[in-house]
Amino acid sequence: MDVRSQIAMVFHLDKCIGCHTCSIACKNIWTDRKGAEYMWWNNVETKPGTGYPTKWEDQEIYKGGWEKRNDKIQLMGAGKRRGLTNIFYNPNLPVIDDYYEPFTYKYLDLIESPETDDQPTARPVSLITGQPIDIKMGPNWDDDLSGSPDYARNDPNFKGMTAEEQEVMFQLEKMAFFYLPRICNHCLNPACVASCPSGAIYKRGEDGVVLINQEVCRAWRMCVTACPYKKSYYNWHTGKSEKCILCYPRMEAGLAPACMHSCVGRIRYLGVLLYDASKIEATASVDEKDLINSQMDMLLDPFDENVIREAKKNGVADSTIHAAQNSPIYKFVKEWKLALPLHPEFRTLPMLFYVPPLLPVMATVKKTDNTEQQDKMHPIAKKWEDNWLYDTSTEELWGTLDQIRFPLKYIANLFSAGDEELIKEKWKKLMAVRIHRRKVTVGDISDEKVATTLRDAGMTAEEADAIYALTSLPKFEERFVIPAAHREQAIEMMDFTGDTKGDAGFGIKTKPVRGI
Amino acid sequence: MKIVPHLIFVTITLFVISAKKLHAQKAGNEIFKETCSACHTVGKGKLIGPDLANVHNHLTLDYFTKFVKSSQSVIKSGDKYADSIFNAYGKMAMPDHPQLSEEQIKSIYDYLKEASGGGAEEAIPEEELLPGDIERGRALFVGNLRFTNSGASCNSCHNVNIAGLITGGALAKDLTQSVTRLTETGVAGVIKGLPYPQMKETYAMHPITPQEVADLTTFLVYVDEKSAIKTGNYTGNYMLLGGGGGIVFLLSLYSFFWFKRKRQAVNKSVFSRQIKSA
Repeated sequence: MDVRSQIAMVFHLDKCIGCHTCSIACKNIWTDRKGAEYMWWNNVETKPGTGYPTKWEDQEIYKGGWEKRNDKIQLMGAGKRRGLTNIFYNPNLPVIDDYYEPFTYKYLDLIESPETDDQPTARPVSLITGQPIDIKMGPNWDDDLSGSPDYARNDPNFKGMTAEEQEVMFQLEKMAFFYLPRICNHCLNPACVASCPSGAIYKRGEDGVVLINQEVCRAWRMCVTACPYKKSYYNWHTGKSEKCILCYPRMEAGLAPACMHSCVGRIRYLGVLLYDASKIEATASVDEKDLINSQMDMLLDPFDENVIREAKKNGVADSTIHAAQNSPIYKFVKEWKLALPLHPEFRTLPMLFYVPPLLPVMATVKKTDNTEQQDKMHPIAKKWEDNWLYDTSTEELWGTLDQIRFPLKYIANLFSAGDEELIKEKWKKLMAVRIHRRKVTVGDISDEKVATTLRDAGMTAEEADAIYALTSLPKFEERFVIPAAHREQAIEMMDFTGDTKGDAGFGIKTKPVRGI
Repeated sequence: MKIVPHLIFVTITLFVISAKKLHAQKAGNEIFKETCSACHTVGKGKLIGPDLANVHNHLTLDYFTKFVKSSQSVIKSGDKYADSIFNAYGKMAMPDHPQLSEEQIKSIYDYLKEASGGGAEEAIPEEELLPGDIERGRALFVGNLRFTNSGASCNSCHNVNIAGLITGGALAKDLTQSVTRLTETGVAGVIKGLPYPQMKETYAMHPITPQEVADLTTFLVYVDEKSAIKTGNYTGNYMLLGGGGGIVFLLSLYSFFWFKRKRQAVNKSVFSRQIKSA
């Protein structure tokens, strides 16, 4: 057993309101620079939709992630042989049009325009060329456009769904969408690290944050291809690739990453997971249907004495182990089994987990008799001829699960490599928590029915209360359990600090050789 | 007492004048040797240019002067005689000689008149061509062997088309068939006399020794005989065709190799439907 610690995350999708505050917080801190304008280390997508960059999930196009061949996994579009033969011409790279051409407006024209008959306008200009452009696309161009033919219907997650099933999703009465906020997953088996010909990308030993060393990066852009989530971006100005750094400078100071700190819906949780690093290769290489279970098996119980002993042997600090024991991630992922990684079939073992959205499941439309209601209305009032009712009642709960507006298959393609049973299991739990809480707060559901649903979902009332508390009422310290950094210990593992004693403080700053 | 400085002045003046005159007279054959003998003989048959014996019989001094100063402008002016000479001698115009004064040209004219009578035999003794060596000539031509006086190697500017030799420069004339064009004596004369302004400039400070002239001439004779054009092995056009074919081959290989590349932006279909402002 090779116990290591990893900073992991949970995003609770039922709580996301799609406000993009996280994206803006991240942009303001990290990517508001020349060459980085088009990068959104954090972005929020509408699902169904094509996302950013467009159709990033379609690895037929972008060749990201790992594929299994002859019981072994290898990178789909990079790696030793493919990387070397394509090193001067990487054939699967996204181009700027796959993201969008960043733009601003000539605001100064509004103020400095001479007096004319017409209002002055602020024309859009490209942030790359500086020339006036037609804005063609933005990072969230398909925001809230669930039924649009260009975006929603081109969603790569319809894989394995019949045309009828897809069409049902776009009926006006059934149309629904949810938001999917995405950052770098800081994977346990990162394809970007494996693909880098320069060895510039590394996974930090003490907390598992995946970083690109800007001094080593040689702009081969293999990581851009290799990352199946397209979360490594090439900065055309500095000639280096960049990615989410999980705000490690903030975390080392005990602060939550900017996107999480600013989250309006408080959907984000961050904490430590202990895992068995000796199992990484075996876990990433199992059959697709076993991927999730195998990944869950890698995560270790931080209360197990054996695990604690091995962790200490590996240099994991006591404070980190303590943080792992209080980790909200451990509760969501391992204890309650509510959260799932996004696209586990890419085999990168992501460390960002999502609680699948239940919201569209809750309601159905059904035919009702409206005559009584319509008779009460004024004679000149507009009377709707259809008699559909948007039904949010909790009668026939498990019946609604089969008649959901989102086909299970769609959610399963996103979060469980197509395993519908797994999604059903999570949904049952989420539903059971709601029914239990409805009984507690409203009291219109019988004890017997609540007991049945809880038993069906395999949980106790206490557990349901705990899930409710962490979902709806968490305080800052409960959402973000950030261990003390111990950066000095991590440095001491690599270097003898006595060599640089007295070097800190006043001194010479070396300029980067290229760019900036 | 005052007469001495006057006498000194007169003596010096006379001396200078006579020396100058002596020089001008002497210059006739000297100048011919330096400037003209590379291409012309007097009564020894034609080389690159015509034999100049009895030239005074059909050319006036005026015409002669004009022609020597700038034969090319005479040809361009549409002069029939000049044109016939130009055509008769392989359409190679005589280089211009703006550096020669009218006095000097007259002395050449006078010398020619004198020499046509047979008196010039002693003035320009026939130089025996030294025996040359092909290999040394080749080495000098390519630059593997340095000229004694550090002149530039021939292939900096010239090319000869012969197997086993690197392609030379394209600045000056291709010398593959130089002997056919100029005869062996002509070639030797050119190398010795350097009648072309550019070559004169280049080798003014770095004269070529007689042995080197012989070696180079022998080499050029050899090249002329063995040249690829004569033996039918000329590969110039094949190289061009081969290069073009190679490019086509490589491009098709690459397009085969990267056939499954991402050809266009995923958003292209969306963009193409969008309405554009003017």
